[in-house]
Formats: sequence, C-alpha cells, structure tokens
Amino acid sequence: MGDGVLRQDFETMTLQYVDSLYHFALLLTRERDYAEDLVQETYLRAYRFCDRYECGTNYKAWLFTMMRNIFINKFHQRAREISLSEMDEVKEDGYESPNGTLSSARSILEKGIFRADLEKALNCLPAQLKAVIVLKDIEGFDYKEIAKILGCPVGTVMSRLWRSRNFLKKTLKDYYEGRSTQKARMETA
Amino acid sequence: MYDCQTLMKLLYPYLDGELDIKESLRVQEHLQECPYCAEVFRQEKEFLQEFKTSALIPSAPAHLRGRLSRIPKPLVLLQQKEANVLKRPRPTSSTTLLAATMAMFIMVIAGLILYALPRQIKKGSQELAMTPVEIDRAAVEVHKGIMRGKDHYDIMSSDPAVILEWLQQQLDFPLVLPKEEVSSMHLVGGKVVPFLGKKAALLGYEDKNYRVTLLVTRPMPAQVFEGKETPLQNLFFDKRKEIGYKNISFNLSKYKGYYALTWTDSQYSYVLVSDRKARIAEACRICHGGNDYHKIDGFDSLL
Repeated sequence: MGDGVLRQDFETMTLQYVDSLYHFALLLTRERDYAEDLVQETYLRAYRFCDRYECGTNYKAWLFTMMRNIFINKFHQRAREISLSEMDEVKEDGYESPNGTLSSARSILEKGIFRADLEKALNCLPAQLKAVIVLKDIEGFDYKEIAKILGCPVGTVMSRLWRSRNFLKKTLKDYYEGRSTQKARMETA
Repeated sequence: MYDCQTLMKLLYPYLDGELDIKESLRVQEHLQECPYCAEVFRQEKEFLQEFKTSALIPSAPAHLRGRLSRIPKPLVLLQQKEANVLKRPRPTSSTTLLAATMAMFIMVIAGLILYALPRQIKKGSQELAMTPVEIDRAAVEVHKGIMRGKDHYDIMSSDPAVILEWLQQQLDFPLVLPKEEVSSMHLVGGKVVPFLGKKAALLGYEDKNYRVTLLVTRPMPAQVFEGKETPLQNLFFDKRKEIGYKNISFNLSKYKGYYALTWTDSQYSYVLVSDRKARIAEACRICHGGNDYHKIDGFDSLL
C-alpha cells in the first residue's frame, strides 16, 4: 500500500495534468462530451482512491492508467464501438527513413505549418498506434509505464511504437512529395 | 559487437533511453564503426526531437477545469501511518483565547435553550442522559457540516483498520467496526465528536454521490429514549417515529431535512444520518450484510 496523497495536495497535483488527461480521453473516446465525462470520472476516482497511489512512482502514469481502466469498465459501450471501427490495422512496412520528411520540414520556415501537418498525420493513425506515440513522445512515459497504462506487454508497446513512428514518417513524406492519396486522406482528417 | 540488423531493432529503445548500460555501450561501439547506422541514428534522433517540440497537447476546455474545481470532494484518502494522519493545526494562544470566549458564549446560549428540553440526571453520577432529540440533532448537524464543507473528517481512509486504529487512540471506550464492506457503500473517513462531555465516533460512508454518517457512542440508558416531547422539541424536528424490531427500539426522526435513526444495543448507541430514508435502510447493510436480506428482513418497510 502506498503512503497516499494528502487532501490539500491533491488538487495541485492533479489539475496540472488536466490538459494531458483530456487529450488522452479524447484519444480514447473520440468525442468531446465523452472525453469530459471521462476526465471528471477519473478525477473523482483518483480523489477517492489516492491512498492507493505509491509515493515515489509516476503520479501522472497512475492517473492515465486509472483513466484507461475507467474507459474500459464504465464506457465499455463506447470502447466497443471504437474497437469495432479499428479493424484496419497499419501494416508493418519496411523501415522508413526520416530523411525526406526532415528535409521537407526544414524547407517550411513556419513552425506552425509543420505542426499542423504533424497533427493531421497523427490523426491518420489508428487509435492504438496513436496512443503509444502520444504516450511516449508527447507525454514522456517510458515503455513500462505505457504498457501498464494500455494493459499490454512491453513488447507490444515497442512494436506499436515502431509501426506508428514509421507510419508517421511515411505519411509526412508522401504528403510532402504530393502523393494524391495521402494528401487527400490528410486534408479530410 | 552487434550487427546492423540488430542495431535497427535497438534503434528506438536506444534513442528512448530504454537500454541498460551494457546494451547502450554495445550500440555505441557499433555506431563508431558503422557510418550507415550512425547516420540513421542521427536522422531518427533529429526527427524525434522535431516531433516532440512540434507536437502540442490541446488545452482542456475552460469549463472542464471549472467543473472539476466545483465537484464536492467527500472522500479523500489518507493512508494510515501515524505520520500521515490528518491533524488540525495547533491554535495559537490568541486563537485559543478567542475560541474559548466564543465557546463559553455559545454554551451559555445553548444552556438556556436546552434547559427547556427534558433531561434526566443520574443520582451519584455527573453524566447527563441525552434524549433522542439531542443525539439526532447533534449527529445531523455534524453530518450537514461535513456535507457542506464546513466540517471535515479528522482522518480519511477507505480502510476500516486504519480508521479504527486512529479512533481507538482518541476514544475512551473500545470500538468495533465491520471488517469488510458488505454493501456498495465505502468508508471514507472518521471523526471524534464531543457529546456532552463524552466522546463519540463518527464514520462517513459513501456510495456514488450520497453520504451516510454513523455516530457510535457508549450505550445510553434505555430510559433516555423514552423522553417526552415538549413543545420546544417540536420546533426542531418535523417527524418522529418509534419502531420496535427484534427487541430493539429504534427512533426515526427528521430534522432540518435529514433523517436520523437512533438505537442502542448491548454495546453501543448509534445514530445513522442521511438525506433519504432509503439510504438509511441501505446503510444498515454495512453491518448487517450486503445482500443477506434475511438479517434485516422487513426492517425497510418499517422505516
């Protein structure tokens, strides 16, 4: 059992992660209303059970794990709807070099443009792959934490990370090279 | 030394800092010898850095933050150990003097009001027996205070053992709590409250969004519950009902919109407070079995 969280520290500790939690909730639920409910439910549950938090471990990871569990258990209908729509998996292609993407990105002087393209490319990813790349490269969790959050083995995290990063590079590269199919998909994303 | 194929498999774990020292050194050894892999690693590192600095976390809607801040927070947990017990700050000497003065003033006023209520004084004892009205009222006031955030638990935990250990240190009578939650209600916290010179244990239970308070104190004399109602009493509560069930006399009253069920057995006197009668019945299952309706069969309908 952990040493817990003092009441007076809870809000300070938890509210700093509201943006990240909301982002993850949106990724899980795909809808704003559901995402807000999920964040609120997570917040309440964390408040109730923060004596189970192990001091010294990653509090943010603990919140994320709780959120995913709530999503599976309480929003199971929504989880089922989303999993059924995710039947198309990204195929495991050969290694995609980032060279083309980087040189194209360098030619775009405005950071905002690359950022918008990146967001569009991310949105082309299936939720499972997007989840790992968001948790790793945006939220900064390590492999073990991601595995715990998503409820899968570390090997699966590594495999999905490989595929999602590869897919991202390929999507951006194809976009910059003006391939019509990728461009059409991204611009409607 | 690793070959290029192995290096490609270790590309991301290396860049993500997931390899141990030994593996990292072997990767670096290869990179020093292989310009192709070194260039791949360099480009990947640059791409990941670009990605991390460009990717944004969208802000949560402003109304969501407001929503979270406005949520009443009934239960917050504090896990056990002595050092983590939530304690009230020690008052300063000026604070103590002010508090003492206020307390004396309130006691004088309360004494004038309570003078009109029936009470019995035991011969040879300085104890004051309480009527159901006083117990109900006091329990409701504390329950209301906690619900409105004006009062707080002294200790907060979902573990009955933790609450019990702490309460036992404060009380002057032995206390027994149910060891496991047998209903959907969860223990959230405990408090010691003074009851006319005595101490009582107050426990908070919660289910979904509603709360039940259980007050436990030393057994009150049976005649305490037989006090007559006075006109002044009628000002304080809307309804009152006596219920006999399995050789125990229960009193159900309603005070300021809250229901209070009072009774005494061989061990303790109890008050159960909630905003609805149905929740009182549900709360009985905390001690008397979650789904075992036989134990309190028929009691619900008597309330």
